[in-house]
Amino acid sequence: MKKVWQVFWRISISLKFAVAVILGLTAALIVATVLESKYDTPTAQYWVYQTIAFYGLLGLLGWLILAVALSRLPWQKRHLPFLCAHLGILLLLYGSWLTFQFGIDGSMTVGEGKTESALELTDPLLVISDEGKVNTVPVPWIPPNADFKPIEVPTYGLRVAEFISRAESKVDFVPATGSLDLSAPAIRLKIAGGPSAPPFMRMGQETWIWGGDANWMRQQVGPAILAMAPSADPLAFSSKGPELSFRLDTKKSALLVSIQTADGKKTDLVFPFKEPKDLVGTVIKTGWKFDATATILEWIPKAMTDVKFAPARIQYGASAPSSAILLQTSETKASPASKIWLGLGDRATLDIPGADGKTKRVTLAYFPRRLVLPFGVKLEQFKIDRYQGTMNPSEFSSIVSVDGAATGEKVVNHPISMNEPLKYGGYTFYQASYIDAQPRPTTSVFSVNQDPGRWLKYWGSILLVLGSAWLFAMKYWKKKREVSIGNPLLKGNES
Amino acid sequence: MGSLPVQAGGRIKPFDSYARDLVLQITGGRTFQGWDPVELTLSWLADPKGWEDKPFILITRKDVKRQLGLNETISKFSPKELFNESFMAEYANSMGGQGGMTAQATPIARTSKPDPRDEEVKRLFERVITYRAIVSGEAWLVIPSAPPTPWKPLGSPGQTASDFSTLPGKSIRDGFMKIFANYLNADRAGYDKGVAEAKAAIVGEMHGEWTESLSNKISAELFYNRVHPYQIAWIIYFLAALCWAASIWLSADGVSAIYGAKGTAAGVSPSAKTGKFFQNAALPLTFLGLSLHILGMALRCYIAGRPPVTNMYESIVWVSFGVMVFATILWFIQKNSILFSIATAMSAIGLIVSDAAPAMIDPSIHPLVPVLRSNYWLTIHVLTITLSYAALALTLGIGNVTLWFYLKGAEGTTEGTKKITMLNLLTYRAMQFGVVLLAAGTILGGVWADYSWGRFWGWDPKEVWALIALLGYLAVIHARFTGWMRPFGFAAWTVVAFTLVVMAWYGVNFVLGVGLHSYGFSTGGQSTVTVFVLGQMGYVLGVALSRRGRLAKAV
Repeated sequence: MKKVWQVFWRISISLKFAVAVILGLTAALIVATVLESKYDTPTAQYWVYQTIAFYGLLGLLGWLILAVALSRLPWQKRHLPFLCAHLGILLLLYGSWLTFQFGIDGSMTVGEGKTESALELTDPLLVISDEGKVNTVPVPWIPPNADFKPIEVPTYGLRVAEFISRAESKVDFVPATGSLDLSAPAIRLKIAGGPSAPPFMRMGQETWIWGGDANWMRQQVGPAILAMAPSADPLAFSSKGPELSFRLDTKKSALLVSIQTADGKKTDLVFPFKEPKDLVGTVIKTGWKFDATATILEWIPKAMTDVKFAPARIQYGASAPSSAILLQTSETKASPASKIWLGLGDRATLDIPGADGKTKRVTLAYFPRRLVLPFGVKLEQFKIDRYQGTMNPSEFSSIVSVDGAATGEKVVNHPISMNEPLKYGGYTFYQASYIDAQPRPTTSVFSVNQDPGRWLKYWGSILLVLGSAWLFAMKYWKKKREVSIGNPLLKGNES
Repeated sequence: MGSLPVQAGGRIKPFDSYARDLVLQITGGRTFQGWDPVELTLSWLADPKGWEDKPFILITRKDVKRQLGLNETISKFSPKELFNESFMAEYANSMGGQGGMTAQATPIARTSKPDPRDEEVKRLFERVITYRAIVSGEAWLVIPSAPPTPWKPLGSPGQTASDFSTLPGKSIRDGFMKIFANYLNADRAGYDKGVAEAKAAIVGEMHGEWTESLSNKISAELFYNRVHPYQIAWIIYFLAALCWAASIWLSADGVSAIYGAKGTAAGVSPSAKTGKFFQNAALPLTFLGLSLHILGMALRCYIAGRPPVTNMYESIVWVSFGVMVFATILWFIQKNSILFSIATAMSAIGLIVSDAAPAMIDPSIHPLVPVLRSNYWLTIHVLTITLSYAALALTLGIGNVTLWFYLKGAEGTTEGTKKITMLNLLTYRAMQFGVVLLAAGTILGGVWADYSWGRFWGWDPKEVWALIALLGYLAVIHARFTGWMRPFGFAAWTVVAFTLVVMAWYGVNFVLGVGLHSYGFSTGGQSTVTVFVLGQMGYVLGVALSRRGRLAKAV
């Protein structure tokens, strides 16, 4: 055992090994910056900076520095600058570790005149609420080029089955299921011009219309409007131009269509059906310009939305969208597995099989982790100056107040600007950015943090710089003394 | 004409500066075929027909020229070629109006880098739009408005001279009409009168905005543009470097570089006398060059109202200055004229580089992004970092000269060994300055980041490369300290290590182009810098091989 320790110690204080560690660290850093350049910052963070290996390397470096300082025991006066510089590095490393481990780094978005106390932290979280009980499951973000390992939530028989780092949503319509009836008729149509139409119009355009939501009720295709009534009552034409209005006659089980042409002529058509698929492929002659027709591609009398996520076109960089997860319930005899997609910031309810065989309704939310501060920050005013004749900001700042009810310390109309943060209640508020708006932006974004390692890092920096400057200066003075006492030709190596 | 105030790029500047920016943007050069930028801009507006088929609009990438159906062997094109004989219009349409179809057809991007070809097409559009705006008068923002309303342009598309009388700023427009008419008629007196009238009218409309200080700044900027102090400085530096080199060459013992070495033998041989002459000439030249260098930076500071280290151009100029500063400091430690010989040469090279590629290293004065608008932090962080680059650049220079002595076989003689030892020591001293400043500057950057963004260290590429450079130099220093590196190895590794500085300084902003230091990003120059780095490596390798051969023979 003693021998092992001796070997370990010898390696620890070997400068050659230290240089090898430094070279390894350098190589890792080079790889990281290249990754960051090719992809983006979170990707480089994931593959290099946040890995155990990288922390291990930093920790090893810290140990080597400590070991070499200890190896000089008993310390003498001449060791002071050397100890200073090395202690500086140790403090820096330790401070950084404290920040990483116990620091809080979030952002706060406040509108003018509003008070906010919640911080948004970056790591996403799945929140499951079940009759007053709230469970949180961290879903660590991973970059698009990493493999996702499904996360199991055994308490609810749930699993996070898929993860898309940068996701775009796509809405689809499916026949309604479940007890909650939010369904409305939905139809997918293709509008295309006849042989007399220009080529791009002959290709046609497809769209869904759905009666369940004002956003989907009317869709504009070229000059025409397509509409789906939410109920059996007819929907009034919204324009004087070409329009196609659908509604479901539940009693007769028929699809009713009202057509209006550009010259105001109206026609009503009835399409009875037994099964919805009977109507698929039906071509409706609209009587519009270019002999345009509407073809029914899908028809769902009772439809609900089905939101799916797919990888976004922009996968890397600041303009890439946020992530999405696919949740899956486990399959039981009573109910088949159900799936639901949640984009970051989405909420949904889901029926999951309970222990007693009955289903249980839970609320799911996929949110960035939030932290509520014991005090609220009120944005009194957001100010922005621009360089003359341009829209480029030259300066922006926020005037904030804190009422001090919780902490006993009042802040009134305090400015926070780019190089002027506010320290309050153990947190520091920095002006990070703003949400641009016309005629002037009124929403300010602060970056808020609490950094227990800050002072260690500052002291470490000071010691490191002073120590190394001292080290160099001491050698110079020593050399000078040697020269003055007539040391012959100086060799390249000084000690 | 150059002194007329115009609002551009977020400030009021003399028309001379504005015209230089425009000419640089459109033609990619500081001047175009010897035209004065002001006159060229004037001529574009006054005589657009005459410029219709003259090639002057820059396109740099071959694939872009091919894409547009243009001749790939030339780099400048006429408005006629671009507007009538290329596919530019089709591109403009397809880029402007992205329909649902095209958006869906875009494949998923696998990296975050924009396509460099698209970037060049975008820049070409900007050049063309700028040229059109000059011709239509839109680019001439010379009709003052009370801030924050932007100044109004001289004209807009579709307007004719007769409309001018009904628009605000009539007297200014009248002045400009006089300028254009007299310019076309080559009537110098009438032109000058028009300029005077236009200037008086603009100043009159600026009311309180026209202050003594603005007027002085405009005059200073005009002087700075016209005189171009850095250009004179590098010529003088270059002469000084030659004089220093000659004085060393011709000094008493033929090779000794000790300046003021109470030469008992000096003054005897005629060559030593000539050497003394060169030496006497070199010092004043060096300080003349340095004064001009300082003058240029002082003027720039005064015009911009901030320390001159906010972009690549300013930092190269500053580093060149820093090299001189460190040479002077080291000169007090080791009275050695070879220091000035190296430093003046390096400063001259620096200033030449800064002026060599204005399209890449933009020399114009731009407004700063909000976070940089703190003279205190800007001064302490950026100046420290760039000063460390300067000290390390000096080690590069001395290292290269040391290697040169090795190549000449100086190792074999006592004199030569002494010289190498001395150069080694100088390199070491400069490197110590460099390392301490680099560490301090990097940490100060962390302190600034902590103060304004709330994080001390965020593994930002610029931070990381500063750290890599620091680790690299620490490795060199430690290796010399422990004796792993003999004097030759130290000189060789000093030269190699500077690659890290090149990467931290240039590479992060121009090659990687990511991270929080985005205000300094640009592109271009990769091939030049690669050639430089490879050349340096080749030189080190060549010297190492020749030395090995020589040592083998000696054994």
